[in-house]
Amino acid sequence: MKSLLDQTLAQINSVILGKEQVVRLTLCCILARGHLLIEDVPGVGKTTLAQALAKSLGLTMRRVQFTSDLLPADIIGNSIFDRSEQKFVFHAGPIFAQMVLADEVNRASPKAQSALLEAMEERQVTIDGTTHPLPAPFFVIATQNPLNQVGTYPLPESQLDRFLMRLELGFPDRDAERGMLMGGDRHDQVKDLKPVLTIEHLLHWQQHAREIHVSEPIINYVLDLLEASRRNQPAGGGLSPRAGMALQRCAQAWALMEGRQMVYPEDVQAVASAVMAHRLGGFGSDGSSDGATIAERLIKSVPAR
Amino acid sequence: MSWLCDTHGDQIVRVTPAQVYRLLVCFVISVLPQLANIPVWLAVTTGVLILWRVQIEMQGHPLPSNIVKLLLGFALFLGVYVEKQTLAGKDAGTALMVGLIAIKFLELRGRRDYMVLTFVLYFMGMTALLFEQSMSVFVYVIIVCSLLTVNLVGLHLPASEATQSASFFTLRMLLQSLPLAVILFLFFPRMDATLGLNLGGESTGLPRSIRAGSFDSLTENNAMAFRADFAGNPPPQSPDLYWRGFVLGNYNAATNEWTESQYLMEANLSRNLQGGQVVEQHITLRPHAKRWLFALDYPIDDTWNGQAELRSGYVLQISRSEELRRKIQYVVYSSIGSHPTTLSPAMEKSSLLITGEDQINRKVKDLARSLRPPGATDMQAVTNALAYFRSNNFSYTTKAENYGSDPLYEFLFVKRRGFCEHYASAFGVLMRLAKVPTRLVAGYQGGEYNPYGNFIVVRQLNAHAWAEVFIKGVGWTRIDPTTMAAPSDASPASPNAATPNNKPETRQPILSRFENKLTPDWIKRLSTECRYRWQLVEEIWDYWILSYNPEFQAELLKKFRLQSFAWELFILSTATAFIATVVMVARSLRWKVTPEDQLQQIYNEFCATLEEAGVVRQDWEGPAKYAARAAKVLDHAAQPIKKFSRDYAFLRYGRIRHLEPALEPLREKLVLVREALAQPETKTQP
Amino acid sequence: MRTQLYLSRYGLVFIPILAAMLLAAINYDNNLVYIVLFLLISLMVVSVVYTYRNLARLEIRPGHMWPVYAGGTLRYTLVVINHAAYPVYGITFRRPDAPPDFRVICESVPPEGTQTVEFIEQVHTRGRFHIREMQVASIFPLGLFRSVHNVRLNWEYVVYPQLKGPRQWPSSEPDPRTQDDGHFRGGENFYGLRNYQQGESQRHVDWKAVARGRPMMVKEFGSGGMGRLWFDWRQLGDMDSESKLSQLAYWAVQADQMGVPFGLRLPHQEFPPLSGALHLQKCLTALATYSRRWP
Repeated sequence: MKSLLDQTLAQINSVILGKEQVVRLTLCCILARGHLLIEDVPGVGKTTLAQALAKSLGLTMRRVQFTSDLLPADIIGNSIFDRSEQKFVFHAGPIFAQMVLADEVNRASPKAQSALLEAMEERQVTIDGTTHPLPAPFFVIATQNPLNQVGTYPLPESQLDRFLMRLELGFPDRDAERGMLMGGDRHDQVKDLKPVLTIEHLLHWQQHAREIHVSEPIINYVLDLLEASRRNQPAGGGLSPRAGMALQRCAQAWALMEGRQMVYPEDVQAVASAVMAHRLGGFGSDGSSDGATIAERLIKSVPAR
Repeated sequence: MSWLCDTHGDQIVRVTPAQVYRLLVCFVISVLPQLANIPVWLAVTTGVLILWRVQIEMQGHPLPSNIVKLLLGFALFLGVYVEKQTLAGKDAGTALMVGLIAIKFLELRGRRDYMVLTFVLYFMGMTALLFEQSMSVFVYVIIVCSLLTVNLVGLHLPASEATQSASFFTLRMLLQSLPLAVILFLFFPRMDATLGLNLGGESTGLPRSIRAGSFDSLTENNAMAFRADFAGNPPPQSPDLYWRGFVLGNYNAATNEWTESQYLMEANLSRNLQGGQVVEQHITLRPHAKRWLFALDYPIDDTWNGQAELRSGYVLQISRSEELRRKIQYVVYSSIGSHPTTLSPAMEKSSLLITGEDQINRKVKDLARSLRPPGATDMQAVTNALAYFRSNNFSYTTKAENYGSDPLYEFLFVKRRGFCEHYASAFGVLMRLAKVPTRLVAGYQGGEYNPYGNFIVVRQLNAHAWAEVFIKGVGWTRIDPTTMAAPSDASPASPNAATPNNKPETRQPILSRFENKLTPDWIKRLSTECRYRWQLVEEIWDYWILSYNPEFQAELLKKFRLQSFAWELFILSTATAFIATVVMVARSLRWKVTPEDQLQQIYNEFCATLEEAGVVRQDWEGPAKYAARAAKVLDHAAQPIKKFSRDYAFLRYGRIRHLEPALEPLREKLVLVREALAQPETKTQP
Repeated sequence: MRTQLYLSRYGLVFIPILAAMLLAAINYDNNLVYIVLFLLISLMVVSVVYTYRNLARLEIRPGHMWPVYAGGTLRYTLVVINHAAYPVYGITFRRPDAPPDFRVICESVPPEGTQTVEFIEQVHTRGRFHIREMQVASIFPLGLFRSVHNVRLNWEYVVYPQLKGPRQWPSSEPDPRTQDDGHFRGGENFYGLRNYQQGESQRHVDWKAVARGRPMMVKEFGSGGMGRLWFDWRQLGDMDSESKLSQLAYWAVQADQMGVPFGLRLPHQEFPPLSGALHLQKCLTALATYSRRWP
């Protein structure tokens, strides 16, 4: 199983150069059955990453480009009166896919954002009293431009919590960039990717990830992290209980990817930054002078158990 | 020494009124035994200061200023100096200590003062033992120490639990500390007391010289002088119970005083004894601030482990020019019923010498001449003298009387009553006038036999003086003229009924006679019984506790053939006892260690090992990451480190049912890590 | 947690007294003084074990820390957990970098019990601070020894600027896109749904959704546009920088309490208008750690 995973990772890494850690975390997020928020300036390969992932995992993928005039119906679909059948027929929106790439979510109005987030959370869509379940592996990758760009509606804090992880791609380093320049068109490469995994594999592993053993010390460690994050916060900030669960789930998935049956503190630490950063505000300009994110500082302030 | 300054904020801790009161009580208790040793005005002042401190605490007044304390201190020093004419010595020292502690209480505010005072009070309580080593004082001191400890523990407890928990803790700690204390007591190498410090001590005992009235203070003194144990043998009969102290060879007629003389060296003292039977005695002697030791007539060898030597005149004397200030125990052998046979010309001359002979009353000289008619032998002279005492209605009294300017004449011809010193002194003078070589001996006579312990207790009222005359052909012979005074009980029939100092019943005060009549017999018997029992306890106490001296210690070690390892044995046994105490106390405190704790401990050891090798764990670092980092740095031990950390992480974070059996293999892996870390060093060093 | 043992200062005072007793015992060859001395020494030895065990099975867990503003009190807690079967007494806490009169004591913890210890410190200046470690110590029972262990806390805390300022709120800037200058939530644009809270006005409950069998939700209307309320460093040009920071922090907290989105402009940083705890925290942190030498 580990070899299959490694194969998948290798394949994606052949397209997304120099971002092994991000790719790994992305896969981890999928295994933990969570949704991903990628935040970065345009052009660093957010879309490519999503496509490569979908291809390699053999998932159907739809892409929604969020704009300021996007309506909820454009995402979840709507019921249209079908004259031939004399009744309302539900036309599924792009969200009915195993993997949805929501590009630049912060360009859309809060209404549209809400629709997406609600669907993500419930894993089902209700239109006119009818509930339509979303496909079984359901995975949203939302991308977002950095907040201080003009003309955006940043996701409210409460909504950010619904993403299991938030990642930054960042500019590739020189070698990776050279590779990109020499390697030809990304889009063609992505198209040529073959699925490495089947959906069954994925579902099985998602199930397996939940069963990874979380021992007492690890639970205490997570609790310590939560407690630590809540210290010294004006107006009751800090990590929510949901964040704690997210941390545990991701750590389990990470341990699974490491080929282990139990969670180590290292697993928690590996995913902590991705899981906690958007819940703690440790990104963008947070006023920290030493460059370390709040999440990293938090990790270093809590002794491992 | 930064930790020295680090008080953890203790300096801001104030003591509560209750704690102050408790310490004051401890102070009062620890001072009580010294009360007799300090001046009255100081006792009163101390009481006032204590009351003042209580009042300050109750009313919440501020503590007095430094100037007040300074003045008090100055007044104290001045007062003690005026009273004692010195600031050193036992009495002044005690007084100063008590006063200073009382003043120190006036600035007792924080925890530091409190602790220091407590420690000083430990010392204060202990000093009582320097003056009196009885069991009761010891028990008292132990109680004082316990109270202080309870108080000390209570200081660190929440007020609500202070008394009860503190007592409980103290008791438990005292019990737990007993074994180590015993070991220390047994094996701590005793040194010779040559530090030269002197706080003074008891000094009741025989006077240094004999003249009329010099025994006055002893005749009613019931205090114990020494105790003699006969090592399982039956004690000698009463006529032999003459405990030799010292010899008085110089007589000064002007003052009618016999004083100690330095006899010329007598060689081969023990060989010059004729006849007699050797008796072993274990004597426990109370301090008497003189240099002589006691033994039955005649001691035959040095004693007290060579610290007391046998001098001419068969006197045992402490070799160093030091007086006996503590209770000691020594073994001495005496040859009873024997006679020393030497009389050198020099000795003979000094045994006949009377300084200022012309001061002696003519009538006395006439009497002496009449006792030895021309041609009579020495022996006849002695017999005549004794006959004179017997036939002229001489009687014995314990009452001190004024014998006027010529006590010798007064005693022999006017009053005709007195106690041993008068008889011995007069007899001695008469003999010297009659040219019979004579000397006086001071010591004790008789004693109370304790049938339970087979020992004899000799009290101060057994103090006695007798004469020795040199009879040609026999040697020095003991003559006790006092026995002539009261023939009725001059020779007590058995040691069991030995009564002190040959005092006839008639000499008891009327009141006590009356008392005796009213007291039922069984009470008397009971009290005797109790006294015997108590003496026995004291004997055991003295034997095992007080007299555990270098000799006893050496003997104990000799029994186990360890005499040459005293220091090593001390260090070894103390270390063992130390560790045993720590382990046993720790165990008795129910240190429950779970396998999880053990696992953590092994990991901590692992971290410590790597830290020594230079890789310090960040406390947020998980085991796998740390091990990986360490393995990279410590290349030569990479394999064992990784193996260990993999196993550890598995045990710590995995789903483990039975942790315990897995701990031992993990420990072995830790050993492997250590070995691997140690190896390259040994390779590179040579 | 490694527990270290030291002779305490009191123990250092006690030793000369024991030495004096030893002198007396040797000088007088007094066995009773020896006994008292050895008993005290043994007591000292035994007390080491008690002092050690007083801390040995103790776990110190970091507790909570409340937000603090300059000139106020920093309040935080530690949780002392006694894993032992015996009670534990007199645990003192001390920060190596704290003033000498800093002292917090936990008088006792029952067997297998837990005790929360509260720390209160006066704080005078804003900024980012650390509590690197806490020294936990005990001199129970006799005070002769001190067992110490250091609890690494590595706490970082921010002292936010003092909340005070004489100025009125700045007038809001109209949003360039929506022309909306609403101050408060409750504009015309539908903002989103949130759970109904007991006791709230039912005016905005999404009854349609309730009719569909969904739980009670409240429709929130926002003023859609952003960037109306800006707290700007430059608006306060004539104040000194500390007062400016205090003023800005005061406004930010007020705005947060009223639920008004606000933006913050500092010379080198800018926070676009938002609301919520995270935003407030970021703004206040920026104000607290502001320094002229930025970056």
